[in-house]
Amino acid sequence: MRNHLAFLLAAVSASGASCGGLILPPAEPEVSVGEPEPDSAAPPSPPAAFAPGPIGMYRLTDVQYRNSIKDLLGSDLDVRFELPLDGQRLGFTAIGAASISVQGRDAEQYETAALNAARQVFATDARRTKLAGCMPAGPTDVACARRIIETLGRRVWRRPLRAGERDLFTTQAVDAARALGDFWAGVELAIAGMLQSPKFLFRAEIGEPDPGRPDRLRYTNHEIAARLSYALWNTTPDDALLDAADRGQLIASDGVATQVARLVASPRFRTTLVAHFQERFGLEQLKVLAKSTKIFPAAASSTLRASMAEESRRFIEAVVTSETLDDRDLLDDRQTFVNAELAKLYGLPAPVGTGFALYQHPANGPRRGLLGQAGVLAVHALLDATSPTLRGKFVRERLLCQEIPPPPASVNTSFPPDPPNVRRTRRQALEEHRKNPACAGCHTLMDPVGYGLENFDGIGAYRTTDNGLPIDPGGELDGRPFGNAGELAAALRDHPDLGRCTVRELYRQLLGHEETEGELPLLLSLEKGGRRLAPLVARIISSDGFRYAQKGQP
Amino acid sequence: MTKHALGRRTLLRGFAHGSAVALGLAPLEAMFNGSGTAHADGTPLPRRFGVWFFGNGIHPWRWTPPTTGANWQPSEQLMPLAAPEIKRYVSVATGLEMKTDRGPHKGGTAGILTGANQGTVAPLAPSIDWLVSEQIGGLTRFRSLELGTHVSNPGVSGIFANAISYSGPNRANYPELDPRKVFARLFGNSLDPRLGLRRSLLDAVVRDAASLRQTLGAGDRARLDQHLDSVRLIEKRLAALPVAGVCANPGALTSTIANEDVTSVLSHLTEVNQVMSQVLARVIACDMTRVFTYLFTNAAAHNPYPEIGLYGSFHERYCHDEPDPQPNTNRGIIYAMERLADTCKALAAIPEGAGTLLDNCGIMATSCVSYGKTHSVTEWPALIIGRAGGALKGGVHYRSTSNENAARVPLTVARAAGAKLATFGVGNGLVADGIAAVEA
Repeated sequence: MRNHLAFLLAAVSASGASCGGLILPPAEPEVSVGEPEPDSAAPPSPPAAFAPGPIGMYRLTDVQYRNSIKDLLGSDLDVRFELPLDGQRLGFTAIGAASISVQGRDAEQYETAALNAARQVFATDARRTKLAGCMPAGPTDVACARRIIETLGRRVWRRPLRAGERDLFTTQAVDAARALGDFWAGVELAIAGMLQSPKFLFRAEIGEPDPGRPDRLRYTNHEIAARLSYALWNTTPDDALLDAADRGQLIASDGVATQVARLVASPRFRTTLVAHFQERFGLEQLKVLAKSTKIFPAAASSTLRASMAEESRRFIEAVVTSETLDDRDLLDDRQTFVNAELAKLYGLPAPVGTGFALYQHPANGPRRGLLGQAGVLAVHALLDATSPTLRGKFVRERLLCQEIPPPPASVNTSFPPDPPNVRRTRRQALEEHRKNPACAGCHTLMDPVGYGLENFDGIGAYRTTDNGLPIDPGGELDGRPFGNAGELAAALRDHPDLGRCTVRELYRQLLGHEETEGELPLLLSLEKGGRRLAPLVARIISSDGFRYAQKGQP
Repeated sequence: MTKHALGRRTLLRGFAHGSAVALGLAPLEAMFNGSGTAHADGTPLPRRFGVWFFGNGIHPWRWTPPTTGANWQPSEQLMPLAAPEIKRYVSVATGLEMKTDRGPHKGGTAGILTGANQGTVAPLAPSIDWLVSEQIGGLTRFRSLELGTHVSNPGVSGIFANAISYSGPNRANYPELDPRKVFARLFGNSLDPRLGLRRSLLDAVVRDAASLRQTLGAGDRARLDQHLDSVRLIEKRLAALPVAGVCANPGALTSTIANEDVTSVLSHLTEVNQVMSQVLARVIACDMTRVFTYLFTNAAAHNPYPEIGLYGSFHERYCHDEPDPQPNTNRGIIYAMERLADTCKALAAIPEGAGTLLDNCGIMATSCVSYGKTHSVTEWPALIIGRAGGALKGGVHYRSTSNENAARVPLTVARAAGAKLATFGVGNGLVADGIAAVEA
């Protein structure tokens, strides 16, 4: 236990550390005594030393905004608005959301989107009748306007409106309706206003005193409703959550448990959990990934990037919904999904029919799990070449939660040019580069991991030569040698840091902040209860870390 | 016919008849007083501030002009800027050094734009354009505009190299890359009959937020205030919409050049840059903003330049891997300077007062490193373009013999554009003096 804690503390405070093996956790053999633990969704009893993390104010992410608009105003709305870019911190937009604001062009984009969404609803007879709940007696029917603002406003701002709020936006609606001679045009503007309010665009959590625990805050009923909904469904709370909050049921652990069970059982949770791993593996970059079509002619296909993304999405979904698979299988499973385009890239027979089909890679083959999939391999590579360094850095930092500092200042990061008449592989050039002691510390951690993936080029196609020379895909990972990508996957499966990293990354993303020292005991206790991912998320969400906050506001 | 082909034809027609025609827009009316030194209503002509940025640096031995002072003799890489219609506006400052921490590319970008060290992820201080717009941005509809042509991963969040404007730590202002969208945003809003109601609504949103404000801690309150300030700025912009003349209704943008797909844009980067430059010139002429940044390619950009046969990553394959004397890298640098010249020509093509828009602009053109291969920070690339209403000489080569701080350049241009800054930068980047040799 002491070793665990020491590692977590080191990870929290290691920014700016230098490479020299210090970052690596103490070697610790995988403990496997008897049967594996049964998976449990029940929260661990909070360890005595636990203290909750900071309270926050989170700007809705791009996905959250679009989902919320559809769930509030109509699933058939066209929500392809231009929105401000998300902030990403520690690899997750959910964490970046706690530090960004609305600046410059952002507010304009939100205004345009809000006007657009409200127009789609209130200029359409069927849509507005469904939402409104009353029919206006005339353009300035105050009672009907107030009713719409009150009911829709509660859903938009995720809590009942105060009288002053209700009256202000009712007045806006009626004044605009009078000026435009149209009741619905007035309501349309008022709702567009509520959608531009920080009360919609931010989840500003305030908390309230926790009776009997003056040392901490608890989240309010309506804050819990929104926390649950955005963490598990990435959208605004539905009526069942808001009703439970209105009834005061969400400050009690059984009320939360009931809602967690309901939310986790939905396909919307599956989408959210898949999105976590898409972000952790960098797959969102596929949307805009540029590749040199001169070097990789296959990259000229306008559908290739979407095919890559879809393979990984299906694969992650299969793992997270399985009754038996867990984070180890994300890296080491042989099944995948290919369409004709990917089959060609991988050198496989094309699947029957159009679309994707399940495919099982051979047991001794190089392709295993996400590191054998073109999308992950292409994202962690250069425009026109592979990069063992980038791939190794990704494995260390995002899969094992080990930190690699940036290159030291004022260093020549170029490779020494090849001597005349000498050809080298990327690996050989990198090994030359590592003779420079200023580079060796960190590159020794990164490059050898990446060598294991050198059989996959910059878009994930299999190759046996590099620069005309045979590729050596052997390397080692924290003392365990591997001969190729398949063995690298097996080494990652068994790596003692993998499971801990999965817990940490999920905890950070679901709670929207970097874990504090007081939360470390809770993170350790969350490792107990099995490794399957959906129950792990349920444990995190049901834990005290999700329901309580430290006093004092950022 | 493809969009691309249509765009090319439109532009070629434009080249034949002057830049305004390329956009299919009505020419600007004569708006000036008899002597051309002020607007017809007597207000002095505005001064503007700009930053034009390209990634991956230069070759100092091909960049530095062989002669100093006025009428500098063009070097190989600055030859595009020696075109007759713009050379008199272009000053070159060489021999300068970036004094901030020297992390490759990102550190240099932060150093020249913020005068401060780079943080672990994001710049730690506001950028020079932001500081200038705090002082002169309040007079126009837009405090500042961020434009660009290419970033390596558009739309992916958390990549601070994709922006060259920062309003503070972790606060990047990302550029708009599609000239059609910029045009629609700036010129498309005038006809909404609900303008007054929208302003009233935004005012209500701001007033209503007061109750939220009281419940927040200091850090989150500052974030809320930034949001509310942005909303107030929209209110102001809606109130300031021009109601008459070509700036109110400039016609449609007939060029169909889009900039939507990162893989296809690079094959017609010259045209995208041309159209974006002309939109910029129109925006400046209509005084919609007095502060802009223009991100041609981002720090350490991995883009290829297929138009000139450079198909690999420019950062990796050319700047770092190509053996000296780097003939292909040289072509890429010259290509970037040709595009800068296109931007300058678009500004110089529009008359204003007795001169052109460039007579009233001060623009710093710079990069993320000096010699890219070694991430060198001496011989920092810095051009000072325009006369800033007479505050800058234009057409001078100043060579420092003492490795003066490169952060003097942004300070010089900011002051010339009318910002009153006692100093710029922090720590090693701190400067209090501009470059007198280029000041008028």
